[in-house]
Amino acid sequence: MIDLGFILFYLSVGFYILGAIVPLAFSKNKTLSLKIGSYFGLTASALGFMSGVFIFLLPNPILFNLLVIAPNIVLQFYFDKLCAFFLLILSAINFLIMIYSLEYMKSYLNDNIAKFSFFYNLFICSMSILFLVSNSITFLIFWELMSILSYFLVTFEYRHQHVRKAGFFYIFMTHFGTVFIISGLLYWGTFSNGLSFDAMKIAAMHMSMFSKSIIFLCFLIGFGTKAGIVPLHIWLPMAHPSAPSNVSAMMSSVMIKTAIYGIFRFVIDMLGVGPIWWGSVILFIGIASSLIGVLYALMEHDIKKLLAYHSVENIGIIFMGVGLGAIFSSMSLYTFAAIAYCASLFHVLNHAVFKSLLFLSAGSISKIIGTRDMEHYGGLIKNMPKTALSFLIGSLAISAIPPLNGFASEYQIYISMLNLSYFAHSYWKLFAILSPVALILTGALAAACFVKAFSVSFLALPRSSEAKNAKEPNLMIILPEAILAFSCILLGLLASNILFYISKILLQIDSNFNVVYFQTTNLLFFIIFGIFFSLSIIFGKIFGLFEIRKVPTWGCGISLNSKMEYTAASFSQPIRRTYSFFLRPHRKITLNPAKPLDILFSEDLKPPFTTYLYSPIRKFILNFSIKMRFLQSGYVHFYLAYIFITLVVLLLWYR
Amino acid sequence: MVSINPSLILVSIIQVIIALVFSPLVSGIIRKIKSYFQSRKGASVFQPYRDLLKFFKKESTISENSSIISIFAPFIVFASYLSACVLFPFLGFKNGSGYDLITFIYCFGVARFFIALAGMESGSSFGGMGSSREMMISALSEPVFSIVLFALSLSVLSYNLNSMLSSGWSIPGILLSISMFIIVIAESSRLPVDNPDTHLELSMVHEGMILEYSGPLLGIFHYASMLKQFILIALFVSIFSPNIENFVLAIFIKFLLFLLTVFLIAFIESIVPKMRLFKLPGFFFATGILGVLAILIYFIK
Repeated sequence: MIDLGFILFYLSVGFYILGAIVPLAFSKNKTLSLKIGSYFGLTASALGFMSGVFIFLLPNPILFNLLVIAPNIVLQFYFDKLCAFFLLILSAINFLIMIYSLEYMKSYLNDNIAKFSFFYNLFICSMSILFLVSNSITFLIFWELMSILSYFLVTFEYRHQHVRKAGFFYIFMTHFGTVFIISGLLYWGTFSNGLSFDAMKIAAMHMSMFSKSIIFLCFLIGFGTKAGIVPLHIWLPMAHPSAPSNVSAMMSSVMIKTAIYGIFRFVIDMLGVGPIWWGSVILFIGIASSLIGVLYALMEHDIKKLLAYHSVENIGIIFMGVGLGAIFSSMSLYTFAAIAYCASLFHVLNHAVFKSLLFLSAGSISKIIGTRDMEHYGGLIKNMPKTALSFLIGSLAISAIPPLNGFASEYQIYISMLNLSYFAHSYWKLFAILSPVALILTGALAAACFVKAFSVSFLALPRSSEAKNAKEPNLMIILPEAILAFSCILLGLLASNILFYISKILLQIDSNFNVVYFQTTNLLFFIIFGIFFSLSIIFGKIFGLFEIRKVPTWGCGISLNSKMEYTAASFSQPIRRTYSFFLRPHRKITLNPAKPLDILFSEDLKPPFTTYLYSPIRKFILNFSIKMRFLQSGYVHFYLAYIFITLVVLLLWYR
Repeated sequence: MVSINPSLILVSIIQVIIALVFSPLVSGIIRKIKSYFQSRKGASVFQPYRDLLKFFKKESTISENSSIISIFAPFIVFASYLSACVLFPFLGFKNGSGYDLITFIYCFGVARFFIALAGMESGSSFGGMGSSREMMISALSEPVFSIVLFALSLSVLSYNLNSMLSSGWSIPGILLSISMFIIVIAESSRLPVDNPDTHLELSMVHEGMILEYSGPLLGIFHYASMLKQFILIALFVSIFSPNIENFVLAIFIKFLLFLLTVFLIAFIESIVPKMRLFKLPGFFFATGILGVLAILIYFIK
């Protein structure tokens, strides 16, 4: 039983590596190499999924030393339920994405497909090992591998300049985060003997709160960059749309969750309970991320950018759960803490499901129409009903509409927030009560955003000839979407059972986290709503309400065309104006006097983070570098002198 | 887990029947009172029933640009309001669980999502305008609505709607009742937020979305919005009514308060003009601040 889980895991890693290397041998024959890579990836994910199940069913965590890489650095695996949970998500999502890739990557046959298979399979492989390693150095190695391999996937279409730029930004930001993770881990390592997780966990018990807080802040910035919290989020909307859709689905649904895994593993599991401000900071960041993410998503017309911004929003919601849990732990209310942690882990799972669903369907649409701009879509529901249905289910799930899965996890977070407001003191009560209000606002804006996205893309009249002639993609593209859509519904209805299993994860981290009972409402709502809906449908059937005549839309006397429809820009205009104090829209109207009917109107946003945060820092660094240029004289003597001076200083220092 | 309790089912059925039967009457009464204020005789209070019957006799037509969503949207909207009816005990039977606050709030979210989709279906600008404004107004009114309800849930330390009944009967409850009343007006798409009587494109939100419908489907939409109005007023009344042990007396008091609220809604609608769309954020913000003040009065001692 135990051995089986390990063997399956090693097998899956082996298959990933095979899937990376074998296609290179067949790189001349593009279709064959694509097939080989995808089938190896499929097998590997299936094996990974099974091993995840076996590891999840282990009663106690097991430490397993594999080999010594270097003195004091052991590649050791730690198999527990938290790892298994993330491994399960990764394998399941990857399995579906691999089915999708088989068909989807055919549009990239002019590029080097073997290269794609190589990087992609290694990327997944590094992630699945990352979830299981139990030593800081190996963790960092695989973390870095994951970042670099995903960089090559982001810049897969490197011939476009914006893709290269996005890739550069991505690799810069992810290394910025990694710096903080490394510093946190090494600082932690100074207190413990060795860098294995066990030793560090023991060391954390005797650390001062000040050092713990420094480490916590390092991890928050480091993992926060990977997760894409505000204000470190700006690489997400650049990198995700640039990648091919299957990669963006993978990145958005699983890769940014590695940061959540890191926070759970390092902060909650190993660092232990901190002061109350840790949780408050995480909660505040979560609220800010979700609100700002959803506001920017509303302003986007590029469908993949919109989804990327929604990742920021959902990471914010996950952070809210983590923050609430940390606050409750600091107040020693462990049961409530466990509910909040479970909610955030459940949202990790749910977000992985519906975000990959949305990215896959958005990818298939943008591939068919040839643009990512929603203003060229429209009316697709008539030619692509299956894609439309899966996108609709994904939209409902992400907008937290009951009884789907997005609501199930957000409901638990609402409950945790309300519980916090019951237990908080004096002024904190007010902040605690305003946090679910912020979440409600986020939900309302998300619903607005997806009403916009769905209706502009799929409803009314086609806005371009490509949209008019769109065809339903074939079964290999529809199948994973259908499975994901089905799991959206299933996860929503089985919420209490899933939460029960997730609570086992937390029980393994700390025996205080004991949840007896989760209050879920999805199934109840589903039953009530289902009864009324079917009754009204039956009523409609009896009274003949479905005998409907279709007539042209009244266009005030003119025959309608697609130019007269409501566009995505006009749909979000009221909200843009409502939040103009933050979004800073500015209009540009250019008139052409030669052609009186030729009026160009554009409304751009002034992104505050790039304007007020990133640009000044960039300018400062550039100016500073120019000033320090004189050090680089180009003469060898000078460099020797530098070395000499440094040596002297160090000798004096460590006399 | 869903626990089925026979008495709970009975109560739910009674509540649904009451809501279905009396919600058009509420609309009729409001129209009647308004007509008195306009020095008209006005139609009978039973006019909405006749209107609904008329709708159901006609033929259904929808836009040729629309898809299956248009056909199912009325039913989804109707069913979600009926679910909202079941999910809170406005008759004051205080047994059973499952009456929780957040699901109740999100019932309206389901309806809103689909009605907005239906508005975008036709391809005309009117529907799109209605949908876009509806989503904007919902992003303003939902937070305020939730501030009020969360403040009340905080005062009774429970998010179960059962225990929240009559929780507004207190000093800060006065402030909360004002903001809640404004939300009732806004959510039932009345002046000053939306005008229920016109189809002028500059002043319509809810009516704009269902502009392309006709016949029975339109009837279902109208019925659904009457239901929503009924539920909101009932929620308002059951939260802000005094807590009385005697069941019959409690129902009677609630009935009187209900009529009073209906009168107030009609009165307010008669004296205020429609507000400009972009004045609404400030309006709702002020309403939300009232709720925050109430929270401060409750808990900051």
